[in-house]
Amino acid sequence: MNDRVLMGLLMLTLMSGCASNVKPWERGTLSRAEMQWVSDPMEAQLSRHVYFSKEASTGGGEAVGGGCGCN
Amino acid sequence: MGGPCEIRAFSVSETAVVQARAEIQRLERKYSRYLPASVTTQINASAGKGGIRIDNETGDLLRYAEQAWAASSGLFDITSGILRRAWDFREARIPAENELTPLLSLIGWQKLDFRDNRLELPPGMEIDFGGIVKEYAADRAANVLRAYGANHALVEMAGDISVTGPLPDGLPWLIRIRHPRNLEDNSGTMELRNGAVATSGDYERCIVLDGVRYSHILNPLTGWPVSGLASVTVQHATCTAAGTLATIAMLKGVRGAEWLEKQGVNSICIPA
Amino acid sequence: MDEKKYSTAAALLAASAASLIAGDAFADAAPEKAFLGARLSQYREDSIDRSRVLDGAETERYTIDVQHLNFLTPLAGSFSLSADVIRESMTGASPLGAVKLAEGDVRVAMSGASISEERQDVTLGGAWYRDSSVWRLGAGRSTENDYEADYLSLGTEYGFAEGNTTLGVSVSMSDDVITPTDAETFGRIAYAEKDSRSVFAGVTQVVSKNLLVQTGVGINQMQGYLSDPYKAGSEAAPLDRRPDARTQRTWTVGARYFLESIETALKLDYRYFADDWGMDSHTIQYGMGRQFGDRWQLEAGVRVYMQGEADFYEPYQVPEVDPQPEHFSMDYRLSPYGAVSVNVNGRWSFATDWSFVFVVERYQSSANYTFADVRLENPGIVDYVRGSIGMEYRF
Repeated sequence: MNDRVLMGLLMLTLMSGCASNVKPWERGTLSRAEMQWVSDPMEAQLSRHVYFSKEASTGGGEAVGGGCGCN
Repeated sequence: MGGPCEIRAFSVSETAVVQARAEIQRLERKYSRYLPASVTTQINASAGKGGIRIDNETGDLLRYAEQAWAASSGLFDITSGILRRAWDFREARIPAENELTPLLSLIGWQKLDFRDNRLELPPGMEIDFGGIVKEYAADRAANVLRAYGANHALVEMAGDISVTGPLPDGLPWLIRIRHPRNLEDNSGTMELRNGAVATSGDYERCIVLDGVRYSHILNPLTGWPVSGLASVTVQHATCTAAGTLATIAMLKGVRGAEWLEKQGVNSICIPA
Repeated sequence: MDEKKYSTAAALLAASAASLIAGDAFADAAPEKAFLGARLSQYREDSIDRSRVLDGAETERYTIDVQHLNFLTPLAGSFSLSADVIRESMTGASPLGAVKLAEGDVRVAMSGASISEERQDVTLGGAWYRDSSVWRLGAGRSTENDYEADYLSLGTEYGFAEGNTTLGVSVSMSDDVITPTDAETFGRIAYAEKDSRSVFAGVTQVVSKNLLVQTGVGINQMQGYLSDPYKAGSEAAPLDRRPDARTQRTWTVGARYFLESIETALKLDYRYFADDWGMDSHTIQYGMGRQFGDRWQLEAGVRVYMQGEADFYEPYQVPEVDPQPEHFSMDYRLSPYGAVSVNVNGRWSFATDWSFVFVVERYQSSANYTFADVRLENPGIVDYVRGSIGMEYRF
């Protein structure tokens, strides 16, 4: 797992390296509905719950939410 | 904001108009340099004291002012307000050169340190949002009306106009441009279906001495009033940008009309 | 980036003024309108093949109906409040474990037909929007007749570089109480607790006006009773024994790219998961989203999931082995397999402020879909279809 952590940190540094100079008024495209990171929060909540109860993996993207007896 | 504010709207709720006026009042209170609690006063009081934290809206206005300064090659400069200490238009007095020189050293956007949400003003310097906030308020009020579904409304702030859409029958609002020297005459008409119109002129405040007209629009690089154009009216998508373009054209004097042509915007320039 | 791409001062000022008037924020801003969404979903597992179960066992698997209500409202300019109410009712049978028959077949034992269970989940959330940051707080409770979970989460996001970089950190915890039904009858544990604590940190970066990239790491630690009480067997004859602690780590990376030539948003997400039970997995999601005219928004995607196996996973029980290993499980969820799913998500804004939404997903699993070399596919892995319809109102 350690080399994965390293990869993660590498990605972080790479990303800050390509820090851009995009002006606030140029972010119009990024604010389009289909460009939102999560375009349907209710659906994301449901699918997260389904995958959590049917698969061994959880999380990714945020701190893990509530539990249930389904796992 | 130094002038009457008028809202004309068709089929819109009372609430919408109330909210639009409230937005204008909010901006007046927030940026008036005459009010002790305003952001402008606070910023100017912080000059030479290490910097002040500013809110998002003020930051956005400053960033806009920076773009205007860059686009006008330094002519549009919100730090130039202190020139009013030398030019008192009520007294009708021309200042001496040695009065202007020290003031000029306290002018210049490049002297500010502005980063993210921190502004540091060197001692003695001042900023004034007066050249932007009136037009900005017109646009913001129009936005409020639009949010309430008012698609046929017009906001006017002492000659600067922002509309949310055409008249209810689809015809444009007709904006009559008054002649700067003879207020009874028309210099032209602009049709407004969308967007805004702003005017910058020298007829409101000026000093006339020995037959020479000294306008209140001062060049921040020389300290002297500009001449060449009596008034400029620009039509553009936003009142804010229209106002800035009109002011820059005035500041460029005789070259103003030519510069405005190259911008590809609809404008009426009246030579002095 | 080329600053000189504005050909005229007017063009630059136009763009700059538009942004000024709109009030582009460094961090997320409070929502402008309130939102109310209601959604009905059904999740239906494919029946398990008769050849995979013990003779006479139930083959119908789970069907779950979900009703979800979500409400979000701005409050006093810089706050927002949200509430979620979810009700689930589950019916159907699930695999209890696998047995190797004399003939060499491995067959699944299924639980009794039509266990009907209900779950209710209520979550409340609040957010505080400041100039360059957002603070979020959430709390909730999930209740079933045999399981209760209380959870809390706290998070913050900070914007830098004119909002081009966002740093987010969140922590959450959950305290669960398990009270299995018919504990005495079946020799199950009657009362157990399970606690989870997790932390997540991520960075989102605007790379260009069309590209957004995000990466993050998370750790989740669980302590307490981590087995499935209905699969565990009894004290005397245990069928499933898992460790009482589990530490999970995730690394995620993703991108959102707007391809101008086809006016479509391309979405890519990858997650690597690993824990101290020996399980690890890869998840890749790819999707495309586009607006069609003023009223339609459509999104389609593919998800590929591959997992390995827990150290103590065994596909079937071998009772003769003595001594029995300290930990073991036959749960298909800890077995090596992969799954591919496709999904479609649509939103129809049929009136100002009103939308109709629908989602469909088809999920299929197989031991062939994973990276590990699988000797024997767990007969209990699941295929399902899931669909949702809903209405949304913005005011």
